Amino acid sequence: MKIAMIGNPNVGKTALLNALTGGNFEVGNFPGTTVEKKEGKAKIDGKEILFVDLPGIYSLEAHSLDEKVAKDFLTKERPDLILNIVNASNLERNLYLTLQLVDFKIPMILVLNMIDEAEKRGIRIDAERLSKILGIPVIKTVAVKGIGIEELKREILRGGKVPRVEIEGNIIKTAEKIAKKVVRVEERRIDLTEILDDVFMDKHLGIPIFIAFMWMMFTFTFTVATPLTDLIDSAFSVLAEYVSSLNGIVFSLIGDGVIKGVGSVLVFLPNIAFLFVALSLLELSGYMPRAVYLMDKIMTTFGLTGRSVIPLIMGFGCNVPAVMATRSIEDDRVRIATLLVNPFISCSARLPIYVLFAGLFFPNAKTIVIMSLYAFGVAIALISALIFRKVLLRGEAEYIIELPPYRIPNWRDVWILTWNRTKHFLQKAGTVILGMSVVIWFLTNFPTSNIESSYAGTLGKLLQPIFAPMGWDWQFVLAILMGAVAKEVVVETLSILNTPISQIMTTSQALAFMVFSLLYMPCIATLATIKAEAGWKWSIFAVIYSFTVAYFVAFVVEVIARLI
Amino acid sequence: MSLNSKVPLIMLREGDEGVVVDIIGGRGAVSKLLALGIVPGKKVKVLGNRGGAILISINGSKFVVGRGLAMKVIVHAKQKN
Ligand SMILES: Nc1nc2c(ncn2[C@@H]2O[C@H](COP(=O)(O)OP(=O)(O)OP(=O)(O)O)[C@@H](O)[C@H]2O)c(=O)[nH]1
Ligand SMILES: [Mg+2]
Repeated sequence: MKIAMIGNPNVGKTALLNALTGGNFEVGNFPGTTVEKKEGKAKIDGKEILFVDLPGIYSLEAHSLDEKVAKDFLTKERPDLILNIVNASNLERNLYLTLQLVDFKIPMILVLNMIDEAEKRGIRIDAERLSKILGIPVIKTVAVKGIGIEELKREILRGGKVPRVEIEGNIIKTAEKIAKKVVRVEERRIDLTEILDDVFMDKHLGIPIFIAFMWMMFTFTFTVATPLTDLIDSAFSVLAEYVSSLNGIVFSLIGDGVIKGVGSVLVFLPNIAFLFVALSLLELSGYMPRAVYLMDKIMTTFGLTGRSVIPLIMGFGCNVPAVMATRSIEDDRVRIATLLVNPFISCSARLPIYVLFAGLFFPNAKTIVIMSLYAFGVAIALISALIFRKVLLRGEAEYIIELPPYRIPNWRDVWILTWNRTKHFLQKAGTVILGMSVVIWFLTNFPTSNIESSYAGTLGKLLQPIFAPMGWDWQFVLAILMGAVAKEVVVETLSILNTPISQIMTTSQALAFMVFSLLYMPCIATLATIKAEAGWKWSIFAVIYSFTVAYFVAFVVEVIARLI
Repeated sequence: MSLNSKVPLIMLREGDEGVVVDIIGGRGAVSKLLALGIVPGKKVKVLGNRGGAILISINGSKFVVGRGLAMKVIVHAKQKN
């Protein structure tokens, strides 16, 4: 049995999928969390059921990509049942889509989700009457608390009903009439959302508070995680030393290559995990769409719209999901511009580079230097967006986004978001970063173990002239080359090469190196995503553009820093 | 603002109220707004208008509407005393 889950954005479709299947799919409190259809399997009373969670849509008129995907799914794949999930606090608007679903003549169940919030707002719905009017079963649920799920499962086994509704005039009028018949609003109590919005959206305080949140996110990432980072660091050093002290080439490979290389990256696990925790709190609280409003004016100055803010913030975690999140931007030119500049937003993979270099060259101003690099990345992203929109992607943009109420993130959703992303980092450490440690170890130990005449030395010195204006030693050039695969590999390379960084580099060169690493090109995974979302032409453009910008900016930084 | 004026939504100031009377513009914009419940006859309140996108409340939902789109929603502005 195949079931399609369809409804407006942010009504809790994915939360319901998790409740029904016990799955770990990512939810978020803003419209457009799910951008790709997700499938979850469950056995209900021994019956195999496939749930397909589709991106949220407001109508089926197929003006946007998501609407087309949903419509195609209904017509081509003909699911056995539609679960139409609606937000109980907002029945009339949600019914507009419900009434369009009637045309497909597929059995349906209406799920009135978020009943808890509706009740808090004094909204009561007569489910029985609604069920009679629509001719389909209506179930009340609270997806995040598992309320109503057993009843829904029983109803699913019964297979739903093909809806039969009389449309009076048009569907807008019909939706209004139905809502009038079944919804009763009692006096409302004061709402947490109103109080919070008074503060967070304040004319004068709104933007300072936004900046304060961003600042807190990064301080949280650095300061809270540092003791753990130090602990892991010393554990890996001891282990690497011990293994490589044993005799034999295999021990050298494992000790000087794998443990040292992978360890140099894994050290940052606490920082990265804490960053993901902070980001997930932003995504689940409902603050993200507020940032859309607060930042709109600034974003418009740079040719983007407030809508671009959500993917840009997500980019601080990882650019891959951030590039995918641009799908919910309706205007295609703004979408492409947002997606192209996203790699300039410094993701967690670049953090190790800053921590390493800022720690060596700016021990007393480490945090300031790192924060400045983040801000610098944002500035380059915005300026680039302006250039793209003025030159390549001209045109007016329109958008509208719904603001959900604030919600207190529940620990399970925070865990799912944090773990999924941290797991991705660990997988990368176990595959790409591990693989690269073997490659780099091999390059440094063959054909001779004298590093200057090894393959690594030869290759680095061969490419060094390209970066002559910045004056970097060959080790750094090799690190840049290797880091094209994944930015973590920059630090890994320097670690395996045993580079005495502070002895062979000046402070101005170090600054230029950090800036270059920040900008020089999207990692392979991000490039693949850009290709999938925008086509290979744009992904090639992204490489050339970012390399040129990085080269030029790093050079300027080096020169200016040397003069100061 | 003149009495009983019909103006684009974007002209309203923070705190102003009005009633949607028309949506002008292409089919895309119209059907999108309709699907979101922004339809003629609905009361709308402006919660914020500071030069960027406009923040409105309609039907018990809040929306951020880009300035371009907010030009296309024509409202009957309620007179404030
Ligand atoms: N209070 C309450 N919150 C809920 C309920 N169901 C979901 N939520 C929350 O609502 C937000 C949106 O849930 P999602 O499951 O991501 O919504 P969605 O419909 O999949 O959203 P899109 O993927 O953007 O279309 C999350 O913050 C959930 O925790 C519910 O029944 N009650
Ligand atoms: Mg979802």
